[in-house]
Amino acid sequence: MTDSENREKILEEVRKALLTGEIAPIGGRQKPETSESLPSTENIEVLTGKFIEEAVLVGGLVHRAADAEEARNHLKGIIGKCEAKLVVRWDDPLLAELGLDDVMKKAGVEVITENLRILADAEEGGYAPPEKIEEARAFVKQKLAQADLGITGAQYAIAETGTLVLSAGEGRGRAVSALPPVHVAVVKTENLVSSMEELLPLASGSQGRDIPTMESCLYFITGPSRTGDIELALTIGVHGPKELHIILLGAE
Amino acid sequence: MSRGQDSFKQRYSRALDEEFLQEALERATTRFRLGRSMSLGDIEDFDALRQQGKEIKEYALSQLDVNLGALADRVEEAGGKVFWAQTGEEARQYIADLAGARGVKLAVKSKSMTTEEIDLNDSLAEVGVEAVETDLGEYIIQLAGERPSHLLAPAIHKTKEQVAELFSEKLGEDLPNDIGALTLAARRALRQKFLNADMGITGANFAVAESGTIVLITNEGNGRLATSLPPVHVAVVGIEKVIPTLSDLSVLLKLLIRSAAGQKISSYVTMVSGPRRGWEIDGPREFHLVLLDNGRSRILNSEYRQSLHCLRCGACLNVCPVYGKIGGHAYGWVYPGPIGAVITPLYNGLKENRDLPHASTLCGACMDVCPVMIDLPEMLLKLRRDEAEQKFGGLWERLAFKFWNYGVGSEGKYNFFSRLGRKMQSPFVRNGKIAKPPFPLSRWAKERDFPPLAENSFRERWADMENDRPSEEADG
Repeated sequence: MTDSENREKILEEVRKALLTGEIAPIGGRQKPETSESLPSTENIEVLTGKFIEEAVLVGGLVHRAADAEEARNHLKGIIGKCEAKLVVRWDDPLLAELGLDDVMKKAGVEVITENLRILADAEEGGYAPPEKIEEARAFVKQKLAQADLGITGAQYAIAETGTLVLSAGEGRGRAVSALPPVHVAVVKTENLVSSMEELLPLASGSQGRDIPTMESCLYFITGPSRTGDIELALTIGVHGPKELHIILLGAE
Repeated sequence: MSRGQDSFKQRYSRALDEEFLQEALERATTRFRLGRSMSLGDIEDFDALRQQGKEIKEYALSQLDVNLGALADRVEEAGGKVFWAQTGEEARQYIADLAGARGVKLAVKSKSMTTEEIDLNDSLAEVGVEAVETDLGEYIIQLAGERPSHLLAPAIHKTKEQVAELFSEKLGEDLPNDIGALTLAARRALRQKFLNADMGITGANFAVAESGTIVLITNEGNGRLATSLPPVHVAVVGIEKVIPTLSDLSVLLKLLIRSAAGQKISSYVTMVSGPRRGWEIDGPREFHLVLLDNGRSRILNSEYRQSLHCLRCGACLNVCPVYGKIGGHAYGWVYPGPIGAVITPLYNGLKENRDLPHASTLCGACMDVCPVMIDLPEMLLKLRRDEAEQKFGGLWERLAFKFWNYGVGSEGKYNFFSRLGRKMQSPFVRNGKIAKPPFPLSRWAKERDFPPLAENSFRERWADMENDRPSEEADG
């Protein structure tokens, strides 16, 4: 059976069920009222305070930085404490602006930047032979497996729950914030929103448009990884990072 | 297909005897209940939110065909592939064929009840694919060859000593009885699997139609790794999981995560909308969404449609007095507790699972905590009615109710049989109760005592009181 035949078969069953089955209770046929996203009426200081409170509650380590120099100092401290030798980072304009590479190079740390075009030696027009691209991906994967620390930015942060919002894309790998045992995320206070309800229309670009478009992967990170699967004892650091550092950039 | 050859009675009897299981169930259910209540502290009107959740689910199902179509279209637009599986067998076949075509030797799985429902791991093993569970609890029970005992914490029935022994044996290391060390050992072992896997298989907690997005909720990070590292990602999703919009999602996320783990949000929420794009450095090259019917459209067309609202949070388990004593294995399949008692007969046949709807005191605690207000007691009653109508119940029970039906048919008959009963019971009454009535009541009395019928019926006593009372009306 072809795909569309399969699809039609199931949809037909569903339609039949809906026509002959139990009538949906009153209200079931109307679109329910869900609270539409409201623009954040809180000011940034309030949001920042709430974000820090929540992030720390779930085990994140927050470092406030008023400018690039403070951010670099924080990173220097983190790298020193973790004794990091190998770091993988997003190819992100903010991270470059902050000059984080200098700090790391000075400390003798090997830094891999997730720029696939460069790593695959792509031409100006954007072409690279598929094998080189695959090789480059495999190279980064191998580095990630050995990396002590991963650095990313964050598109947004949610104050209500102390959550970082990251989207995958060119230069923004997924595993860099999941594989290494330590994750450092740099986020600007101006990208704070109050809640998930406020965030989702922003992230899907659906404000003022009919159809939302999501990135291939949008993920929400709240604290380091955890489990309670053995005797319900809380253990930090399972498959994801053991330590989550958040460098919060914004005037104090 | 029910799991195991033994009966419900054998399974729950075993469970009642296992001391550690009893302790573990007590601990787990108490902890989860407490966690849930505490996490509701910052929500002003949780019941209003639950009502919203219920309406979202009702609306979503009432437009299921439209939503499914939209979901599939969006996923395909983003470069993903959609497979529509009417049965578990079709889904298994598709995934096995895909694995074959891509030369898959190793697959990593993020926790998915749906894949357990269709026995996916078995059919992958048949085609030479090693499918490794990566959720720590699921990993433990996979190594032990057992079934999950709780929806969220599948291995709570195991002591840390048992886990240490299991890991030491299977991983070839000598591990101490220390939970931290054991977790670290699992992390090390599973990292290799993540890095070398050819395929990542997940379920999804929700599928959002308007954006073609599936949503994974985890705390360990295994969902993130399974959807970042392997070149192929397969998501197996029951058709009832589709919801219309992203704003519906934020309501249901709040409800699910608080009801399940007592957190405001899980450590990781991953929203996947197709395969990787363009120059992304990692992420899957291919994304396959397997939409599974497997009886859901049949249930949609029945009085039990509401059971499809279930978010699989496990809150009902944690308050159920029956589950709290017998644990997940006793239910014999993949879904335990009150929801399991309803859907196991619906998916696998009422005849084979007729004991489950009776494993309930109908206390209603499950409905009180359900984040989408599913009327579980109502459905358990309906299943009992179905069982009676289809005559699966025992012969003696049917005769007893036929007799009862006759005996209460009129006032005269009722009075007659009551008086007869009062006379006939006297040899059996000891110390104000009937502990050993004759057969067939003796079967029912094995674990209960009957109170005796009163010497005078209420109506007789009322009539006596009426006669004795001085006439007050005469005085005006």
